[in-house]
Amino acid sequence: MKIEETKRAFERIMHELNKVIVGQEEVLKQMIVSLLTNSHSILEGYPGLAKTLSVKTMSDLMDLKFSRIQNTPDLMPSDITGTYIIEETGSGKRNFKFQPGPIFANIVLADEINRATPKTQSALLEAMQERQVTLGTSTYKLEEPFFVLATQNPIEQEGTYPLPEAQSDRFLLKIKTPYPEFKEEVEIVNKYAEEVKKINLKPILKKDNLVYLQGITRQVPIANDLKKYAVQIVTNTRKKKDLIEYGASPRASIGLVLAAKARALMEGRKYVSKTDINTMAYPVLRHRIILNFEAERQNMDEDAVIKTLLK
Amino acid sequence: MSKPIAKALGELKRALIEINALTWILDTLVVFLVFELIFFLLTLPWYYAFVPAGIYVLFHAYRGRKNLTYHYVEEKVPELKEQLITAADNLDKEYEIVESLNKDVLKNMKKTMTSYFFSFGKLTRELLLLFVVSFLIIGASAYNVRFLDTHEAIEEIKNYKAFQDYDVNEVLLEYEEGDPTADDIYGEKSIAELGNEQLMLELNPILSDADISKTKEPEHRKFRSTVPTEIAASTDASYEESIPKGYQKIVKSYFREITK
Repeated sequence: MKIEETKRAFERIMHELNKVIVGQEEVLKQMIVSLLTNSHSILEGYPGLAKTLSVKTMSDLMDLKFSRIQNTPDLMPSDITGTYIIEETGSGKRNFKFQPGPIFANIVLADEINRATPKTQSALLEAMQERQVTLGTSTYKLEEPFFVLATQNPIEQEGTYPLPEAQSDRFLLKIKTPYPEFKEEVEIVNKYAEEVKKINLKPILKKDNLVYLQGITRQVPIANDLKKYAVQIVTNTRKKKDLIEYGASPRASIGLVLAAKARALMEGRKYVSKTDINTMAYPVLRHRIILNFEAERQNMDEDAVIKTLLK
Repeated sequence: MSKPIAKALGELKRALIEINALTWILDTLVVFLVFELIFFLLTLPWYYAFVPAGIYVLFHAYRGRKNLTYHYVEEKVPELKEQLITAADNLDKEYEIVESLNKDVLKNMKKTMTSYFFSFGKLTRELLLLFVVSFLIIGASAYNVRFLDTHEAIEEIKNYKAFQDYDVNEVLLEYEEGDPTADDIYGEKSIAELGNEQLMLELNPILSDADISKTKEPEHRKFRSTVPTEIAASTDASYEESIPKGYQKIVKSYFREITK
């Protein structure tokens, strides 16, 4: 695949995604950004907003292995990572054999991650960070590309275990899924309330292509001024004490520049623009800042505060 | 600097310096000639015009720095927006995508013309101004036109007595010393208060009252009567005009009788 072809490839992906998903264009774009940067994302939205469908469709389009983990309070770490099972050989011998868990896939949807216990969350997050699973004395590498998309519901907080800040920092983006527009909702009704037609999706990107694009994403050039601007935004989250209690870490600076590069590549540009940084600042920073009482008093959410940091 | 993009960027920088130098020289020349004309009309030495021209050179050098940056080029050539600086900042990278960007930048730079950085309107105005000011200088020297002899004016101002002799403190002192009734050795208090920009007004109610100790007999004065001893009357032509001819005689005799 050539660089000139990338824009067309992404346009085709979006076109195919739109056959299944109505609206949610920005959500889909941010999911692709997450894939290109080889990072994980957390998707926050109310039930019924096509979160799972989006991820499933994405994996179909990229010819990637997809698995889903429905998090519940009784979910054990071994339910995610896998476990040893006893296997009987032809000669009657019994051996322990590793049975890989759902984490051994290219795209993993961790549904309602905040419903799992901290122990299980840690097992998942460790696998995400290290990109390997250790069981006893054996270590199993996860297959590349590896992308975890966790979802969480902003309502119904009872009986949940919210992700600690240190762990949510490991997700590159926090993607907010908004409700569809009226017209879009009518289209959804037209599409899914009548006869359900089987939509044939053509895989557009192969696994190798995606790995190649992940490599290219890191090579997208960025001007020094823009790099400084991105870092300035992140450092300002730590200085803006009037609205922010705790700011973002340097990991956010790396993430912001990387996400901006991926966005530029997706848009078919060979350079990062200021718009890329401004657009990606929201999903990169919104889960990395903790607002103080003054921000709450002014009825400001994370996005409103981030907006004040952008030029 | 072996890469084509590096060479192109070097050439672009040189072109920017040349363009900037040209406008700088032209602007400075305009400033110099305008002041030259002003100083000539004020009968001041022509070389004084170097001072404002020198100040302008410094100002231009300070302000013109931004015209030598890639930001300025991107402003003038929208096709290169955000690309040129990125290419310039990533000259050391040899990735496929960077090379591809460099090619795009080179392609767009070829389309860029020097005229993008010239303001022809400004250039024409400046040349016209140079032409006009030069002719004015020649004309003024040929006919020896002078608005003011500055040296003479300065001398006059220096020798102006009114200003030299006048000392407000001295005047105040004279006023103070000249008052023999002043009780206070520090001078008139009211003056000091005026000096502090304070004015105290005191209304003395006694002055408005009648002082019975100063009463005297009424004076007998003779008043001249303003009523004239003789009264004369005359007719007005306007009466005759408005009175019908048949009655004019009766009216005339009536007025004659009254005057008697």
